[in-house]
Amino acid sequence: MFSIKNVLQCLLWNLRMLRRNPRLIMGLFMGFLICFLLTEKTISLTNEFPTDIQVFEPFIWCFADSDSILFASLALILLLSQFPRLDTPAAYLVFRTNRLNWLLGQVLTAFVISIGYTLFLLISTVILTSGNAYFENRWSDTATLLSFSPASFEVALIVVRKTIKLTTPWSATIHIFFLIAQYTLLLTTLNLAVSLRYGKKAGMFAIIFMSLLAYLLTPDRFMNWLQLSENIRYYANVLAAWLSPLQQSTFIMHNFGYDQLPTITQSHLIFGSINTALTAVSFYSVQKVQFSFTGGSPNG
Amino acid sequence: MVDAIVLECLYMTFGKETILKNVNTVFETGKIHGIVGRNGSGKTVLMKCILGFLKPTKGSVTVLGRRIGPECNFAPETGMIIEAPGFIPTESGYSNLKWLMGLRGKVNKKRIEEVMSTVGLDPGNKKPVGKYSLGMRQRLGIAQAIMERPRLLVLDEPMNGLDNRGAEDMRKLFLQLNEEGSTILLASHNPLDIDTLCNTVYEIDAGVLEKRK
Repeated sequence: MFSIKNVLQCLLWNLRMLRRNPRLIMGLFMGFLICFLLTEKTISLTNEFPTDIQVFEPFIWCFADSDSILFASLALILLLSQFPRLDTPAAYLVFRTNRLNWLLGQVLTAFVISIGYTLFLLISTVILTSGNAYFENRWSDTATLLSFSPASFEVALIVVRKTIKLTTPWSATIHIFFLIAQYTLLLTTLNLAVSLRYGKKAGMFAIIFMSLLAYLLTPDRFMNWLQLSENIRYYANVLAAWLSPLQQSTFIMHNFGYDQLPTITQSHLIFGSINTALTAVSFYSVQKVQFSFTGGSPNG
Repeated sequence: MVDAIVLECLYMTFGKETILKNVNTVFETGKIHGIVGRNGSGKTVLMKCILGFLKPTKGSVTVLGRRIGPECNFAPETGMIIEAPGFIPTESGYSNLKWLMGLRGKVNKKRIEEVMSTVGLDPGNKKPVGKYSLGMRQRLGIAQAIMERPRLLVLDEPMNGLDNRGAEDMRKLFLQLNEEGSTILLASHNPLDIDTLCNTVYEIDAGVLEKRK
């Protein structure tokens, strides 16, 4: 029988299992390190210009780019290696409720991990932002200068121009935050569905395969594969933007009203559909899922 | 009175290997039933089928009047230990039991303290389970199995990791629980456990279950 109390207890139990877990600590440390390396360039630029910076700008400039999202998602794999738990402690848990409540607890945990990890990235970039940051919803002079100067090309911050023309810092932050959260949720639900159907190792293999696919399906590779010239690069962008889940989660690879790229709403719908399908696979598989009774690892 | 466990035409196959072959047995309520057999003979698979952790390839399992699968996911009103017990390693034994008890209703702190003392653990010990010895972990496993006063106990090698005195204490505990009305299904390699505790003994060999006593 469905019990919201049991579902929430399964969620809390999952989070409790992660407490002081070395892989969680390592995953978060790697996430922070990635944020540090990515923001370093932006922050050093703000130091060159005698201006202040909007507090979310480092997050926007760093994670509006697909490579950064890919790096950050790789750190998440360490965290996902602990999820879902199919060992003895989990067996004691599911035995006291039922498979439906347990699975709903896992789905909820997937949401919490995805949103939590993305929030961690956002907070990390905010912390790393220099002390002269402000919260107000306007682009900084640094961003304005950068977006209209050749320096933007040199420092690979081309993303600035499109973003600054079309959005505000808060709006861009919200869009980027939820796009990254959708991609991490995709990895988490994929891991859950495949682990329940084929076992934990298969789950890990699936997310590594998804990351490899994300690494391969880029506009540059489409240009090489289809032997497109630089003046029709746009078509490679469109192909990659529609076919690659990673590009779907990349802010600048979206249609802001004048091209064939997917809109942000379309990307959310695509992610939503895939995540719903993967959750349905989990529901189908949960009746047959096997728990291992070997006592659980000493690290949890 | 309803039988504790009814197994009908039970088959369990993994790939081409048949682990359980046409198991037809009734385990009566109020007794201690022992299962013996060599390693890999199918004892643990049989127990997992009874508990609801494995879905039989063919046949049915009914526990305390409820059919596993169509009527419930897992054996109702049952406590269990299968192979090695496992807990949240960073939490104390008390905290682990509190979490588990919360899933089946209101946490009864007095009962947790009582059951931990019964199995020889100190409820006030704040040491995380990850630092417990094998024997302490086994005792905590037994505590989690009995804490909700189940009508049926399914115990797979419950004396693993216990010293002679610990095993003797647990034997006394199981006899006491049986006197209080619990039915026990016990798998053990130790002939002393089987001889001392069990009213009926079944032997499983190559997936075939036969009554020996």
